[in-house]
Amino acid sequence: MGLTARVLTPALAAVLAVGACGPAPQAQPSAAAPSAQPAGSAAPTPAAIKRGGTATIAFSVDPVHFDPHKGTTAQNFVSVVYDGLTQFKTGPDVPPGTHILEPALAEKWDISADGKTYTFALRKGVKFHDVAPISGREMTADDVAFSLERMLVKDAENIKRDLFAVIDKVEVVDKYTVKVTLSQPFAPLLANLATVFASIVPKSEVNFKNVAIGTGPFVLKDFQRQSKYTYVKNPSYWKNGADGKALPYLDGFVQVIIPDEGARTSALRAGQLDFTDLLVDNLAQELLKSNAALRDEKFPGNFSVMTRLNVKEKPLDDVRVRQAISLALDRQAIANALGGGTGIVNGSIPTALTDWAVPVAELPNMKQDTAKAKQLLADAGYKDGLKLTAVLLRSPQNRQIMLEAMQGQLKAVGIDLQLQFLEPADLSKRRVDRNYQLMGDNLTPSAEPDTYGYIEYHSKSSGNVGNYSDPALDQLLERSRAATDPAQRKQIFRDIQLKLAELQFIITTGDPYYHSVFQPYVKGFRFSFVNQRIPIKYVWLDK
Amino acid sequence: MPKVPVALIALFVLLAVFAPALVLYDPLAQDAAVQAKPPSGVHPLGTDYVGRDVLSRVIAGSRPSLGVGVAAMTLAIVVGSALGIVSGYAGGAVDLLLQRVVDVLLTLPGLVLALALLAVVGAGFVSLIAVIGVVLAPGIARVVRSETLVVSASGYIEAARAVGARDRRILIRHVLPNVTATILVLASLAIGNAILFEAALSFLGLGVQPPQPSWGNMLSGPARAYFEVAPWMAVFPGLAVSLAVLGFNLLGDTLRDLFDPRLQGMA
Repeated sequence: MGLTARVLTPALAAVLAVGACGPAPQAQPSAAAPSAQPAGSAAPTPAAIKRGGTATIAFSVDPVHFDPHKGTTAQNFVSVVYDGLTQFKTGPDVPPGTHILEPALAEKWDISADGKTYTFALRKGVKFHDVAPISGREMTADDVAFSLERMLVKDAENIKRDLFAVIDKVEVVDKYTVKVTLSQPFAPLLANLATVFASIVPKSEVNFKNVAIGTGPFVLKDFQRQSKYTYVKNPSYWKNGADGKALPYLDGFVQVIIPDEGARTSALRAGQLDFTDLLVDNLAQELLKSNAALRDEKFPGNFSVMTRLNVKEKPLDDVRVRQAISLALDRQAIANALGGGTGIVNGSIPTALTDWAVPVAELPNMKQDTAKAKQLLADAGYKDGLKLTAVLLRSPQNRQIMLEAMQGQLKAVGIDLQLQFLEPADLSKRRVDRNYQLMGDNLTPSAEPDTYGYIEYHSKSSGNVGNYSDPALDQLLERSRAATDPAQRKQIFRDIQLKLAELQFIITTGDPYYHSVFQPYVKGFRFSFVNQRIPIKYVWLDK
Repeated sequence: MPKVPVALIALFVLLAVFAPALVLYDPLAQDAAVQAKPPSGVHPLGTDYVGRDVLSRVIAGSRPSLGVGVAAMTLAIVVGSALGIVSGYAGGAVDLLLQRVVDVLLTLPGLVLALALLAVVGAGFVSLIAVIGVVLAPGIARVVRSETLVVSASGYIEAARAVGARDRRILIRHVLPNVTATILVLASLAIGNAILFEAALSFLGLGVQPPQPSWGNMLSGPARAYFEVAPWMAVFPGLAVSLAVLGFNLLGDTLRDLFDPRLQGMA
């Protein structure tokens, strides 16, 4: 469903492949023949789809506000309300881990030969939600320009500005055409425009922190903070489903806030929820064992729980100490502790990004070697051991699990790691002030390796909070952004990962396997990490 | 009658005193091969999420729990009793002032007060003892004061005053011995309360810090997330808290029965 060859000119399809994820051979069959995918319960014939009904899902964190351009807790709530110019293909025929870029509010685009000018042709007749004061007016180039400029405002709250900072100028050519000029060629642009952070909002003076009015498949109708959010279907959504009528299939859905993982599984078991995602492997296994009717999908996590090292702080400025920390770790044991018995080890780019990640076995300093770790510490002048302090939040608990496991393993090479739990406000301040030695944290999940590269490590990136600065690495990161040839870009990212394994600025450990668990009558559900969008557009209820 | 509480308390005191000799494994040692495994012959109470022996951690955790309990109780009893006796005996303006301070402290829920104080002084073993002591002291002061009022009004105190005894002598020789029974009962209950406070504060992350085990912090954090699949991580430290507190509360009950003449002769 969704993207078909009909819509695309061959040239455009080539552009998409470049912008999305390189050669991506697995992208071809699903793009060409979605109905051929034998995805079990998830691949219905058009005639079988039942429309209507309301689904109930749970989420753990309440959004502080709804503004998609500012902040990260809003994304899971407004992702169904807004669309971007581009989007990653989601839905039941997309295997987890594949990232296929497709047109959304931009129907097609041209890229100039120098890679610096993008001309987007907008989809015509797309209407904003019929909610005052926008009241269902048509989305035009003015709204797109307004949104892009809004994303580029230099404001501490615009924490994802670096995703778009290369945009130099936005021009409205006509009602349905927008021209974007970049300061330099920038390969990740189309993928970054598919994130929630690039949502197209209506040009208006409303406070987007308090209202959410977009073009997306669902309209936010009503909400009680910390409790529940009610969405109804957008009757004039621009995209058609497999049955030839406008998406979404559901009449609406309700998102309830249940912070406690145990309470979420209980609610699912009791039939109060239709589905939930991101259940850690062991919890999901237990739930499925005791409830044979439930269905699930399993996939490796790509949050990559990790430890940031602040390299301004002695002794972490010494690469030998950082390598010793890395060599002291049994990463599989840590990943298993995170997942309750199973887990996946991640290098600087999570294994789940199959198109980009170098296998961990090929990276240096990632396999436990305590003798070498001790030798490196001795060479660095810490023969008698050393003491380090890691700051972390109490929740999510995966940081505590990771750091307690590291604590035990580091002890074996003479490193005494202390844990210091902080309140969220304190931790934010420490991060902004770069005032810590080690910090338990995780990476922002993304389909684009840029998020795991330039954003975290470039010496001039606002996302670099560990004072990382390495001229050779900076150069590689800059080249990774400018390279538009997929094969070349892949090679650069390989070099980046090898370099990072040598530098060990951020100690990545691993992730659990996660499960999406749903009731047997839930069809068309397929979790997708990309965009962190709730994958509910294609869901229908067989009851 | 007092056999049960005495046996329980003796058990936990012995565990705490001989903890290093009794543990099967180093309570901090991790074994990646046995993460989150249920109770077995090798690990009688199972293992936790990073493969540490739960039994060894429960035994090791008795030290901070009982240690904080006894130390905080001592502090609370010394401060609370002194304030109570002085307040009850002196009366007048001193009593009025002290009791209004006690009133203010009693209006604040204990846990909220403890959290506020810990937020100011910072987490740590000594601050934990001090804070729990301060939180428990006002209640003790109030009860000791009322006992002191009764004792102060009795004939032998009046007689002592009549023969010219000084206040200090009256307080130490006549008042204190007659409120000791009450103080002993309060002390026993206070240990139980202090252990609960330690557990609660460690559970909330302001008490004993990981990886050092305490019953409270073993119950919190990842053990909670694992509760459905690996309940042994939280159930056994929880059981230890319950039994220890039960022991001290039963002892307090028994002592009260022994000391209270009105209950003498009743079952």
